[in-house]
Amino acid sequence: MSKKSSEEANPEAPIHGDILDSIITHLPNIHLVPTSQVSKSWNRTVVSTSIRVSRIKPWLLLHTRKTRPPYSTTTHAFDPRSPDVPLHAAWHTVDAPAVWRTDPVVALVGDHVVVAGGACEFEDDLMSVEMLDTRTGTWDSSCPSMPEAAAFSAEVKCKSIVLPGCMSSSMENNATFGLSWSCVSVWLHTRN
Amino acid sequence: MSITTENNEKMITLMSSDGEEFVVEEAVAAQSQTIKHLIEDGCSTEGSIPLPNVTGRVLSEVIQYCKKHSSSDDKEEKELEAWDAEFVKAADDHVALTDLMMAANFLDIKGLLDLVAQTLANMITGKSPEEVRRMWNIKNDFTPEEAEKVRKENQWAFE
Repeated sequence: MSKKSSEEANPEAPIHGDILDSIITHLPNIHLVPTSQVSKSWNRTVVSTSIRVSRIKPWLLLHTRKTRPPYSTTTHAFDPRSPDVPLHAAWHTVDAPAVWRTDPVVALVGDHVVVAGGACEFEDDLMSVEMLDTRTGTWDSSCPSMPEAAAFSAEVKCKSIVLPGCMSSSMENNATFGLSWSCVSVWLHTRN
Repeated sequence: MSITTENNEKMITLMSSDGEEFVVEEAVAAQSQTIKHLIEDGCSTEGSIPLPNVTGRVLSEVIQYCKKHSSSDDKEEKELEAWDAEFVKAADDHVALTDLMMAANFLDIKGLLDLVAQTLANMITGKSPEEVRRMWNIKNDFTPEEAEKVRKENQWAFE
């Protein structure tokens, strides 16, 4: 009750200006959506902080697919600005790979991230393999292509795993950018 | 009125909006940029420094924070982090935290402001717009058309 009367005396919402700005700046991107729907002033603040505060770090999207029926797919999004950082990741922006791929296998071999498989039908070489040199951040497309048999092996795709703590890479499939971060993806190429 | 202690630390008297007086070391008070500037301008030489926007209850919490942070150095970072976590936990709810944040903003204590802002941001995380409005009695001033427009703009996030 007493709360109510003090509000009437002070009609201005307690959260505004610098205070609101500061809270919104500390929110991870995904929560800006419901936040922008609270009120007009909240909406304005979300827009202005989004422009002012550097939110340029891209997200990592992981799609996990069950290997058994009903083959359900789950998508996980990792926002590097999120307060819970499970990967202790450091992000580096690198050039896009040359080949458009869907669900490629990504593996770390020494200092190189190897990307293979999943090339789109209209690519010249469906078996092409690309390699990113993590020391220089440059792509080496002179890798020999995969043998035909490997490309059609569903096995290969499913056995790409991620081990935190070492090194890995993720490709944006529409090839606008590639990312690598310090956590590992290991390609278990175990075709029996 | 400034008193000097045995170890030659200058003492400052702060007065809250409800007239409560707090005597603290200058180094503690100077964690607040606002107070630091007041001291530099000579406001502390005659009587206490009035803080008309901060109640005694909130000021005592702020002083607790400033004391801890002026006495710890960088190598105790881990311990300080744990202390900060306990400190915001003790503040209990978003209303108390909002008071604390307004004081941190007025007194210009960046560390405390960031700490409380992050805590409140974590509280908002996962809440619906309606739940956030209820937290601070915020009026939904969108017309149905505007609300629909904002919802549509953000539709992609839910697909």
